[in-house]
Amino acid sequence: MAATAYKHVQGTVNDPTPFPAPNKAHGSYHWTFERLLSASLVPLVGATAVSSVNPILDGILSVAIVAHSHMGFDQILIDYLHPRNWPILGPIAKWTLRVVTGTVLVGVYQFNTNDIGITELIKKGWKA
Amino acid sequence: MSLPTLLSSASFALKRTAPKSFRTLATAVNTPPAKPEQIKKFQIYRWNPDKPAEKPHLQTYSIDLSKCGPMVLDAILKIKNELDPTLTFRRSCREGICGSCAMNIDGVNTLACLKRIEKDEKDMKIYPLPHMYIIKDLVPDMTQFYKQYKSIEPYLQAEKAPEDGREHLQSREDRKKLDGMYECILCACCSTSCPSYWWNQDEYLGPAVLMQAYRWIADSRDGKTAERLSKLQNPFSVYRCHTIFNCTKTCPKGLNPAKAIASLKMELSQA
Amino acid sequence: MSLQNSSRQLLRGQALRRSILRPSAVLPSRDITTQSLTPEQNLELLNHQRSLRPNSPWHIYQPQLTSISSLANRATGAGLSAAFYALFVGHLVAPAVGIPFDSATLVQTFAEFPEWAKLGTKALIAGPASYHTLNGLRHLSWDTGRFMELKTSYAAGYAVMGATVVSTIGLLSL
Repeated sequence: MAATAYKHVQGTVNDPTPFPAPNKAHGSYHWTFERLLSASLVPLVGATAVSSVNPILDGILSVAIVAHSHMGFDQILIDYLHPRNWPILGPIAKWTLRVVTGTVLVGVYQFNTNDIGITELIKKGWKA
Repeated sequence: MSLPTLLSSASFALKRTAPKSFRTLATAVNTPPAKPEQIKKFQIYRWNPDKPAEKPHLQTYSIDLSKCGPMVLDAILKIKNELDPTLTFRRSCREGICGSCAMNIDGVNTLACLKRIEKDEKDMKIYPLPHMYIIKDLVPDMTQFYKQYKSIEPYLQAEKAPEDGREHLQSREDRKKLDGMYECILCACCSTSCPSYWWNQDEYLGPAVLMQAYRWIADSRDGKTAERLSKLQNPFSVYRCHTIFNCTKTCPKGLNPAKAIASLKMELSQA
Repeated sequence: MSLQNSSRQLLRGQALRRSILRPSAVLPSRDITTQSLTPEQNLELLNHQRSLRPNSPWHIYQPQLTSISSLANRATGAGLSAAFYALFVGHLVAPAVGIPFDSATLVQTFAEFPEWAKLGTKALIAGPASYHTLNGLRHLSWDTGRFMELKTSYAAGYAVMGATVVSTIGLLSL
């Protein structure tokens, strides 16, 4: 009967490392969605370059950029600030990101509806 | 005693009693000129578990390269034999096939027995494989690496017994798919060059293990492809790979783990 | 050295007989003691040793095109997204604290920047955006299995770097 457990490894030196329960949503579906979204940004930005003021295009582009940004930030947090290693800072960072992304979505809607939209802003600002 | 026996025993006696400095004209004429001395300094990472309070530090040794073999392993063996017997490292085959002497030489992970010593004036820096727990000097603790390898079940799991009762047959095209993956010697150079493996060693499997996971998925004789793929469906085992590509750059056997992982990701997306 | 001499002696008959009868006369004697540990004690010792082991340095790893281009992709992406987020959070929040943040004010404020500041800001947007987009295309190619050899990946990396310079200059001249 071992009074002490193996430290610094899970189980004994001969046990294989365990896998978490399989979940395609967090596995291949997430990866595929990420790539499809990134790929779609190319024709979207291209369309804004050639078209005139178009709030619907602006809306789709902005949501796509926010989703792409959120997933990028999320990957950064998982890599460097995961809750399993940062039990306090990790969850705070994760929820801060979610709240901020939500806020940005509201801001984007506001800007597209009551103001000129992201494409016009950049075009005007560039020529300023 | 016959004449041949007498002569052979006489020459044997002559050789036995000849002083060490005796040289024939032949050897005096044919000796190559002494090579010019070329001193190179080696800075090697040291840490002694018997004195754990002493922080790890670099110790400098000077070696005359003209009296040393061409590879870094020759140099550190020379240091161990002549200068400092306490220098500790793993080594075995000295020909790049066992994977024991994997270490970080001049910033790059490679095998000491395959890395030629640069014949320049710069100090050569030798560190253990990065971001690993160190047992002593250049010896890392490989426990986690081996446990991860075991977790992917690196053995053939055929659906049923072979038809002829003897061999699981495989076409040449299917066997070709395994080329570039089966040759892995599990030296861990690639995994320990991967920043994702540095930060998430406990959950991310690393390029070496992932390439072997794909090796078994790509093997046409294996029947457990669906199960193998299913185990990897989580954010960490495979998907901490962001195609940084350090692994392929550093592999001392010229293999391509990055490509295997890309193929693995494509398989997973179609599973 | 003494071991070598004594092994030479062993090859000669007399010493051989002597060594069989009394090994300690030829071989050097040493006091070797062993300590008996139960498996639990052994595990405790192993755990204790493990807790003292240092972690080998990673910062000594040579910076290469592989790792630097990947890091730059993440840095440019994070920077651009942070600016994007700041813009729209600002648009929502700033009016509540009395700072005007509508498009007209933003464009007006920017127009009043000195020329070097305008060029600098535009470069800071055009450069990272170009690099992130072009390297993003390289990354998407990898994900479909293209450019996955060392040579081709490096070639694509250099192409991205060159194209970034061209694209940034192009965007700045718009």
